[in-house]
Amino acid sequence: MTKRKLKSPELLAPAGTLEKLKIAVHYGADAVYIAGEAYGLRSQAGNFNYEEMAEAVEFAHARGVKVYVASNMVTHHGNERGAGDFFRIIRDIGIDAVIISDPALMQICATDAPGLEMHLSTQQSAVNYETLNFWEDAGLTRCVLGREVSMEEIAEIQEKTNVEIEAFIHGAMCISYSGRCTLSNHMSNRDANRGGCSQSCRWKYGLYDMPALGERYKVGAGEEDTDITEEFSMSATDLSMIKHIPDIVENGIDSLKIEGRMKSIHYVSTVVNVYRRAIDSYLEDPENYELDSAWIDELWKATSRELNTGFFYGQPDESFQLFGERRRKQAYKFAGEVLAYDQETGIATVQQRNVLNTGDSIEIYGPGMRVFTQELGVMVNEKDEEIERAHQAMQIVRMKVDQPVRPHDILRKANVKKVRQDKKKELQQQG
Amino acid sequence: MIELIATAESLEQGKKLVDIGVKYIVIGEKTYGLRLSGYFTFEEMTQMADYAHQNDSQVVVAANAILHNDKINTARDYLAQVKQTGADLLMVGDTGLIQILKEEEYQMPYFYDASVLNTSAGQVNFWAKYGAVGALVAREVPYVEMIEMAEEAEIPLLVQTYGASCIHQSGRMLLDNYFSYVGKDTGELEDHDLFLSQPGLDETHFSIFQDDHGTHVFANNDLNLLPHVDQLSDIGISLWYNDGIYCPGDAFVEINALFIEVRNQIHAGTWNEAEAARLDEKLQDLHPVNREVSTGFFLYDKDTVR
Repeated sequence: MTKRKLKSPELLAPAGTLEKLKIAVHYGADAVYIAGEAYGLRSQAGNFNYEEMAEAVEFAHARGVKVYVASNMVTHHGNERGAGDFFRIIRDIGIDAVIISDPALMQICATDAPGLEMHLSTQQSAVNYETLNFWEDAGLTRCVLGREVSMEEIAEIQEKTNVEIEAFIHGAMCISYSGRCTLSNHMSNRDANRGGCSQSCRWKYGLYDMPALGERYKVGAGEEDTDITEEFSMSATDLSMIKHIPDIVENGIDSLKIEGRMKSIHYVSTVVNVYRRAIDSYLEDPENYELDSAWIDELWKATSRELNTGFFYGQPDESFQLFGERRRKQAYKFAGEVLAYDQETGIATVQQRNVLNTGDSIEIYGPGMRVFTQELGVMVNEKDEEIERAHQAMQIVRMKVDQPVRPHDILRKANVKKVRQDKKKELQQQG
Repeated sequence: MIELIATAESLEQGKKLVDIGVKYIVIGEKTYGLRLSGYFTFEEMTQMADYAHQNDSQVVVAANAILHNDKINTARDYLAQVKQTGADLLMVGDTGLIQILKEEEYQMPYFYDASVLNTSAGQVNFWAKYGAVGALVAREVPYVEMIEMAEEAEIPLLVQTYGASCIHQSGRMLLDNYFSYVGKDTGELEDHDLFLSQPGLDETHFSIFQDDHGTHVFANNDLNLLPHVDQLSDIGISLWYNDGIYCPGDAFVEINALFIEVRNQIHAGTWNEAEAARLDEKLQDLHPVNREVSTGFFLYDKDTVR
């Protein structure tokens, strides 16, 4: 039997800092997206200066990984000043493409930095095939789809377009059509489309009828003759397509994007690791592919919101929204990163990222889904003193590990309180 | 010459708006039109166009929705029908529709209207290259920025001078989902005229409703730039857009009549602060009793919102 040759999609990871970029590459990303110090949409994220971008490009390209720069701000008059120089410089640094939504910036990029590829940002809410054809005609080489597009719609878009298609497969989602929201501007004086989004869509709101000013009747929470306490919210679960990798790959989407430039290296490493393994497994043997429940468990360790499939399989109902008590919380904490390992002694040098105590149960994982659990023994600090508690930020310690590890492997430990709560609930449910 | 562009909820209201001198009447139907004050059949659109043309006005068909494949698949038939009505222009916000408008058979002039996304002259000039003959400026652009924008824009700018303005559109059915979660009948939604209050600011009132295009949230106050519209004419912005989605019936017609009066006074050189105050008071009397007005972002400094 001849094996079917499937197209391998690009796995595109967020990289808020140079450190996260290196981790994303190490854990198997085919491409990463970063932002410069201007024109991006996350003013709170660790954005890259030119020097860092150059280092990022050198590091990534040496490993066959592409680097894209998110320049998806919607500019107001004057914000575009300097954009020509910016695009020219990042092109010359070797950036592979810019992710862009503002037509004014596109024109500047095309004129001042010819040769720098442009990818349409999801902020343009591209949700039909003619939109993609428009942007291809305008010179863009890839379109990031709006997150409201279904799997079926993507198949039709594939049929009727030639431009590359990128789709989000994991992470938080705007509640609005991306770009079509200025709640933050109106409620917090922070511009959602210029990097200041205050995530007003995650708040709880009062909902009421008001036939005349000053005359209000609550609807839902607080409504007369009801005992409803849950307030109105728009907030939604995060997206995860881990259970649907075959659909994603068979649909021929060129690039699979993970959201989260502001997330930790624990998140980036875990999520990239899982999707890398799932995609590779499917490509290797689609007929015998099986979803491994361990992948889902692994994702949960770095996820703070519930996960769901967004719009991929239809209109999201109430179960896709975050009503009621948070149903799952992150049960693991990022605890450290392996810097070095001595094979002869079995000693790992670790930079701690959370308090480590002798006796802690820790998990150590690395690329390729290598993972093991052990009890933490006595540690040795930089003065060669034995310690039972490493609590100084970024403290370097040495420790005996049960299995070989590699630089960039990650340590995490259970959020004991949360694990206990989960266990209690489980027991209660079992009666 | 300053001209008004106003939405019409019905043929009857549209005719009244024409009668008082509104130049552009915005109408549309459910599938392609977004957040309209009422829906027209194609037959009514034809009648509206005929009436407008007899009275030196024009009809703008709102095709400003975000369109998924299903609507794009039928868009050519829709555009053919719109052309048959004799309508003069479209309002467009979806790039896919602009792609179709490049085809000779479907070409029509259009005003670009992508809600909150039209914030610079560079953007306006981009859409001008693709057939836009005017562009509705995002309500989040303050006057200080409009000055520069108007100078550089190669096509006329439309600025909303009255009415509710949308600040959030979700593809999700957020109200259905909430009602379902708390055990309320979603069928009840039609009976409500709902508002949201911001956490910690109970007095706020952001309108919210849901339709086939998703969920729409509007600014806390409706826009009213009547006392300041002379500033628009100072910088050459001569298309004033009034939206009647939350102001039904004759009140909206009368409010437009006030703007016509302002326009005429500006042209005649009789506009002054006293007139501004007098007409503004009239407008506020006509405004729905459950809504307030403000100048929105118009008087903000460049860096009020960062």
